[in-house]
Amino acid sequence: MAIDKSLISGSTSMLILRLLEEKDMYGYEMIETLQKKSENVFVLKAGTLYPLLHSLEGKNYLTSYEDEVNGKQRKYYSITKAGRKYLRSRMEEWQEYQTAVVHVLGVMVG
Amino acid sequence: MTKEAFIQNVTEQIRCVRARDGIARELSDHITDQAAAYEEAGEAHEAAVDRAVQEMGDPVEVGVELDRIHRPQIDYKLIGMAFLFHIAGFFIIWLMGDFSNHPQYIARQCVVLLISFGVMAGMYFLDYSFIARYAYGILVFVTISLFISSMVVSWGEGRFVGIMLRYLYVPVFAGILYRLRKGGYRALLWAMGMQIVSAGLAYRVAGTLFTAGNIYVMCTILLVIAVAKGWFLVDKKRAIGVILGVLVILPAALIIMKGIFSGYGFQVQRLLAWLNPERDAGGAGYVYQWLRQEWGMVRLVGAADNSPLLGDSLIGGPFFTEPFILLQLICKYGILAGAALVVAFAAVVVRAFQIAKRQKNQLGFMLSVASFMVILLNCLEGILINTGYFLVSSMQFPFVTYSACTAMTYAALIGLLLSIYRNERIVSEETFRRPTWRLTVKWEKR
Repeated sequence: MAIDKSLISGSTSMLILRLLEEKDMYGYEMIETLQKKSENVFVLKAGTLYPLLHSLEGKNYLTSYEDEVNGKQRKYYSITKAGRKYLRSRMEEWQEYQTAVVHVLGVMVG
Repeated sequence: MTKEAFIQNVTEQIRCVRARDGIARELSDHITDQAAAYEEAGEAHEAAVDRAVQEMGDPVEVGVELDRIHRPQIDYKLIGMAFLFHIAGFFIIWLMGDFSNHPQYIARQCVVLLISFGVMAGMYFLDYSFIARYAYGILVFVTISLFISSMVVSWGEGRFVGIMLRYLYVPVFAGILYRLRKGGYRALLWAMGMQIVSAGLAYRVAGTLFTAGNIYVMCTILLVIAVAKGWFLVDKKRAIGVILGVLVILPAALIIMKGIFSGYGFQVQRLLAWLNPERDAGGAGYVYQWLRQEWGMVRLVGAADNSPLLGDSLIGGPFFTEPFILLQLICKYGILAGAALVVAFAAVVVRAFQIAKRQKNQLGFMLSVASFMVILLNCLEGILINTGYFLVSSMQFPFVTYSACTAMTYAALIGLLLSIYRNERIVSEETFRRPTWRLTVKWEKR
């Protein structure tokens, strides 16, 4: 199902941080995992992902390190303590927003 | 568009040349991975790469966005402080140095000020990673400079000319530690050896035991931080235990043993004089008694009554005049003037700490911690010495110094901090942390 981009863009950082909360990942792996987990709803472009990752790293929400896996050097991203804290606040915000939308839609449908 | 053209288009938008390589590598890896996935799904190699490149988005947009994130940043706060405090320091030296009676020194101090700004600007624009790249070369350079400066007496500073210069061993040691990372226990042992060499050189070439001890303590702190951050890939607790055991307890035991068997006459006398100045009021205790008298005369605002320091000039005064410049300022203009100077030192120390704290880049972090420690320790010891709460020794404050070497050393440290801050968003690198283990299971059809 195609989703309006504006619905996703505001929450992309939250989705990325949530993925990295489970394990450290490299860029391509994030796009793949996000696509799979969302059942092809969130298809993130690399051109959007890397500036976002670098910006989150600049804000100290992520750190990066290089590691060799199967003979290939990969740049892994890892969530920081500040990143987890930020994620929690964004998730609470999102929960509040989602509840409000459901209430309004529920009232309208009802 | 080819993969190479896409990457070139992206990197062309990024003004900071040093940020380009890492970004290009990351994007190239991504395109390769994506193309491999398409190939696996049945597409031809060229078509797969083309599609992978197309999926990346507009290269100019991506590049502009990355340029915004990775541009160098200027620490206006520290630049402002450095400029203001250097100028203020110049005038304090002017007043304390009685330049009206020694006009020939005005030109000299102007040259020192200009050289300081030059050193600071030079360090600011240099890529600070050269400290790690040429750590051993810089160690030799600092040692030779110390050796030469210890022989220079023409600028009226005698053997104390290189006091601050010795502290450059601390950032150099941080650079050595960076080079030794991932080296295991062998590298750790080498680092411990280099720590002893740094402190030993500081003592042997042109030093006092006190400064060498300071350098030794700061290098120990840096080494413990490096181990705690996992630089050596060794068991952290065991390694820190070894460092503290070998580098702290053993020398301490050696000093005590030596004191018991062969005596530390001079050092023990100094210590006793500090603890009980009346014991040797005419000798080693004189300076502490004099300090008490001076503090008894000072006023909140204005000159102290009959203070002997008021008649002393920084130029041609007693050898200890420079470490006591804070007290001299207080005697001449009151406690508030001294407090303003202490606030200036504190502001620089706090800013140095803030810069160190926010560093994600490992080398940047270690170098900024080294600079922060040198500035903090000297300011703290200086204030304690001036107030009589610490053993009088040969220390020098930043900004308010007559010594060209001291001015240049502090300028280099502040320039280094500015350079680290400037490159904060540009240099992003590995943090030497590996996942504890990673198991990959592959299922292949035969």
